[in-house]
Amino acid sequence: MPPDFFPNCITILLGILSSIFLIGSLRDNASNEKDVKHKGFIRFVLATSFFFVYLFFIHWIGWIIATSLALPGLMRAFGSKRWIINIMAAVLVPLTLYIFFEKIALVPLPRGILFN
Amino acid sequence: MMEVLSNSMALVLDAVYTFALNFSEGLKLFFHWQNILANLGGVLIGSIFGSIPGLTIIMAVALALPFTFQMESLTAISLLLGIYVGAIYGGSVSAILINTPGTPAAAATAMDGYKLCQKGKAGKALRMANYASCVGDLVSTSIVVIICPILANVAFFFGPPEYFALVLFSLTIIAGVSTRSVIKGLISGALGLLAATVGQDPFVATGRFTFGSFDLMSGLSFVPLLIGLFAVPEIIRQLERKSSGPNIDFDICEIESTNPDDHRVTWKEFKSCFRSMTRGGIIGLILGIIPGLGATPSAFVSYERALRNSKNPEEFGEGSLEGLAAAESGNNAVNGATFVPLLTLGIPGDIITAVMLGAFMMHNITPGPLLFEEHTALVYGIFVSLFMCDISLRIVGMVLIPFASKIAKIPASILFPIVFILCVTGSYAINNRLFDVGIMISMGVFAYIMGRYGFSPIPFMIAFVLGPMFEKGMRRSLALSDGDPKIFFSSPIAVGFILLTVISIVTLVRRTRKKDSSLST
Repeated sequence: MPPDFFPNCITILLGILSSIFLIGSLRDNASNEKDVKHKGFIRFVLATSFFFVYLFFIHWIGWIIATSLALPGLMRAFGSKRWIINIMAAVLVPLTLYIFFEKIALVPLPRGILFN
Repeated sequence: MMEVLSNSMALVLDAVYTFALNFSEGLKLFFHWQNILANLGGVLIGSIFGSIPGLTIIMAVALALPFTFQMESLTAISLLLGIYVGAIYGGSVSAILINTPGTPAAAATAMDGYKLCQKGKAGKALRMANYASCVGDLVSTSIVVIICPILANVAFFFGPPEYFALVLFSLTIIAGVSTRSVIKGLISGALGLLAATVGQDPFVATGRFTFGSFDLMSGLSFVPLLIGLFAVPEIIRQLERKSSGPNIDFDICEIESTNPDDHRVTWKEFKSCFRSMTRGGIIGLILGIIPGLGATPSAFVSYERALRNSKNPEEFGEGSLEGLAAAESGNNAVNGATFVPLLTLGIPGDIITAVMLGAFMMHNITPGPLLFEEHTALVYGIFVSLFMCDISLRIVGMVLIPFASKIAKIPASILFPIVFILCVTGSYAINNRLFDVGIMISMGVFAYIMGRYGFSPIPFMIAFVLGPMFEKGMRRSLALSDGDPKIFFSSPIAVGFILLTVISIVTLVRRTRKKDSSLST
């Protein structure tokens, strides 16, 4: 059996399933057209880009600083308006996780290539 | 005649002796402080996660996985088991207090639980839910422990074609029941199988779908994929919800009764619900063993059975303690039962056991019939751990119930950002590479988009976990028969499972057709 045998089988299966799905939805669509407008689309795009920016920051400035910056921002985005709590979380959460991963589990968290 | 009788007696006694011997081995392996602590801690974490709406069982298990990496295998499994059992129970807390089931399985609990809460009997309802969870789980676990070793012997008859047929059956049924549309479930499952092929080919070590990336050579990692599929979409959804309305404010029912009897369960009440609880335990056991069904139908079937057999059926839906007990024991009894197919055949019956399978593999343990031969003590250690979960559940229940309303009120604005940080850190810690974090986030966005269009990530994940086994079963069988597909119909077991697959597809399609036609008329 060549290595592409299994993926080919699955792709054929996927093709068949998708065709059934397509035909089925074309048939149904005439009767009930659904509103597919995405309400929170901008928030979705913002959230996704925020996640990738955070990842990018971890890579450059290291996990600790990136997390301390990202956490209060994210909490604000979720609607937590009390800055005291946000700042406390920005200090305590990274600290706890840092102690667990670096000292107990012995997993080195990324330092960031700027500081290496 | 006498000889046959004495022979069979000797066989039974022998089996009992072996069982007792193995069980004591399990006890010896389990009773170390770290296992007990892990179990108790797991139940506590699970109960807290389960009682907060928006945080799911699978999220709790996924986020805990990276932390178990350094632990001994039984300690790790005890922690994950504890989380599983705790979270299913925890779902009832928010179901009772705010009429929002923390887990879908607790929806049946909400029917009577919230009514009891409105009558000022929140304490009684929470305690009853705790007792019922313990009893239901205990009943099913006791039977599971006995039937598992027997079934493991049957599993020895499974060769590659049988495994192929069994995985095919499990995948179809899981894909079929996890979403409303069978076809969407199957498409999601097929995509999961495709995702499982990324990386080195298991037979000839050629790279597949790696696009020249060195990081992809080892395939998509299990933990980042899991966290991405099940935690990230929920975070995005929560963020989105913020835009279309105010923060999710729950009506916590905080009616306090002055009658001390309303805060506890009397012996009489416990006794009157006992039958419903044990019945729930057995229903949960049966439905839990069948792949794909799981806790939610079990809770409803148990509730419905209790209603039919109750002396006071008029109370059901109006705050019946018996209904609450039946629902809660039914959904918790599934916990142990889902481990039957996992431990004996290596096939996960639901998403949690799929995660457990991943956790086993991370610790280099392959579930299946050989597990009972090679790691006997570990298997029985897991059984002991399952029993221990019930004790932990009682302890956690006692500690947690007074604070239950406070936990269910923790604002999402604090919780979800922390969950996100845990997602990122956990995904990184598995292989110490940021590449996995990228995979996690991408999978999260992918699962979110899937969810928007009604595709469930559950078949995807289970297919991803079972993919390698499915492919090996298929290719090994075909290699045995020189490419002749007739091999899949050569053994009665394989034919049986293929027939079951066909039957389940036909029934599932018919069921959805019926639903659709009843909806449109």
